[in-house]
Amino acid sequence: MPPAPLPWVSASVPKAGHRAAENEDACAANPGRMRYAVADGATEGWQSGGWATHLATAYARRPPTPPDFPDWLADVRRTWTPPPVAGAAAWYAAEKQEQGSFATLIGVEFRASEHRLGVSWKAVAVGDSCLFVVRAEAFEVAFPVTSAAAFGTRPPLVPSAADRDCPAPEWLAGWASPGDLFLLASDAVAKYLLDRRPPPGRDPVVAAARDSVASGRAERLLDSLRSLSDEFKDDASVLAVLVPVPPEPPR
Amino acid sequence: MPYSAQISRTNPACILLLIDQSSSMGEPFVGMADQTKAGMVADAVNRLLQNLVLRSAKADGVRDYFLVGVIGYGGTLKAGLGGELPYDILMPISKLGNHPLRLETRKKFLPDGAGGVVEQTIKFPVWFDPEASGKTPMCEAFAAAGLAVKGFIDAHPAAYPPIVLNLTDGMPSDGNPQQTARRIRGMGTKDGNALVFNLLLSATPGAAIHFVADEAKLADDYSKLLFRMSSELPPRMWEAARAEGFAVAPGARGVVYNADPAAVVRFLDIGTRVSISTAPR
Repeated sequence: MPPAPLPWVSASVPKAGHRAAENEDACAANPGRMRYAVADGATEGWQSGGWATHLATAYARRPPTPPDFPDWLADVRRTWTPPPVAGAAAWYAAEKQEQGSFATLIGVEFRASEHRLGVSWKAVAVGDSCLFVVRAEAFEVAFPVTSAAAFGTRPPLVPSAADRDCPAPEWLAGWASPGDLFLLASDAVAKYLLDRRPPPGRDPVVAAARDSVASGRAERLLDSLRSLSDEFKDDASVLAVLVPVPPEPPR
Repeated sequence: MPYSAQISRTNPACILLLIDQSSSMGEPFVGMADQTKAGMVADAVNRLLQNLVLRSAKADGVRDYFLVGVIGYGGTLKAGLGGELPYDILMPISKLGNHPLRLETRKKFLPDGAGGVVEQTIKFPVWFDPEASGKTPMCEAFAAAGLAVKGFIDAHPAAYPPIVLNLTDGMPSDGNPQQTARRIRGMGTKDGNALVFNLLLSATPGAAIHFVADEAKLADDYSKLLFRMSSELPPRMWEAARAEGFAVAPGARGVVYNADPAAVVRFLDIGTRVSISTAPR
């Protein structure tokens, strides 16, 4: 019998003063296969939002493994068709198209186990979009960035162009316990979370994510991100997955 | 924290270039008989503008993340990108992106991966042409820059502070510009004071001297004057200079002496490092 899907929810808001269509973050999920991803398109890139969506969706469809990452990426690049530019192409369009698109990626895949308590997980990251595992009120895991000071303006990015080298991805695997909350966050939210003084479990964004994933409604998480958009100064996205606590077996 | 404002369409960055167009700029670089200083600086300015357009270009057009102006000073003082001095010289980057003076076809040589080179044809947009005549009215240029900077700050009080980059090959012919430069550096937005950076083109075959932190290390009075006219590099530019391999000391100023063509390009690159947001490597 296939495992029951994990409850999850995602929310994404554009940076303050920008339209929703200008949001270059992307969240993707394949709940049946328990795969989730967030990608963050580089602001100065070309068609970055589309590339981020393509990348996150490709992960959700089939995640890479360490040995096959180059082949996986080659396949993702091969299936990437940038949306056509409306109107007459300006001189800069051709040049930007040649430079290609860029995005960060964080993805996590869960695997059910025979054991009734918990699931195993493995994650991949390129760049500064992050995975947090919230257990009780603390971050059990922060990956791949572990401190707010480590965020810069030039993170590693996955390029769409086949002739550009991709930075080496980082990998991590672990075991999730019932009640663990997994957060995939784009860099603005990740930096905010690592910069908090109160225990992470009491942070309003984490609390809103937990409520939203429990209720299956994204509004509270969305409101929470919107209320902080001036502080984020960037597109902000969170995808939250809860490892449920199984009901007590009948006595 | 100062110099941390995010660049956006509501808070664009102001980049103002002061370009020496005196007659001596028509002479070749030291040791480079085939290219005049004016021609090389014009190429560097056009390359910078191209880069700013590309950084701002999205599929729906060029977003106005930058307002850019050029003040040429030589036989006359002129607005190098159009408009009228002194208040109407900052052009939205979208206007520049969509309306270069012309698109030239140039050749670029790239490594072929087998030890040789391959020739590639590229489009090179031109907004600014070289000129060289008359004297060096640098004081007048800084005064006009001050008015443009003030106009920008009034309109965008929360923006990243304006950046003024002065490129010259000689001494001013109309007085001492130090006080005017100081007045510009005294103006500012909520994010910090306006930045003034200076570059002196090479007069001798020696190596360029970058981002000096200690005036006592400078030998002549004119170098000291340019040092005093220049702002300290803010943290992000200081880091960028260090990442480029310069041995920058704390308090290093945005000043370059004896600049060759490569130094001009790097000065313009580091001196305009402002963050729109996550940028591709």
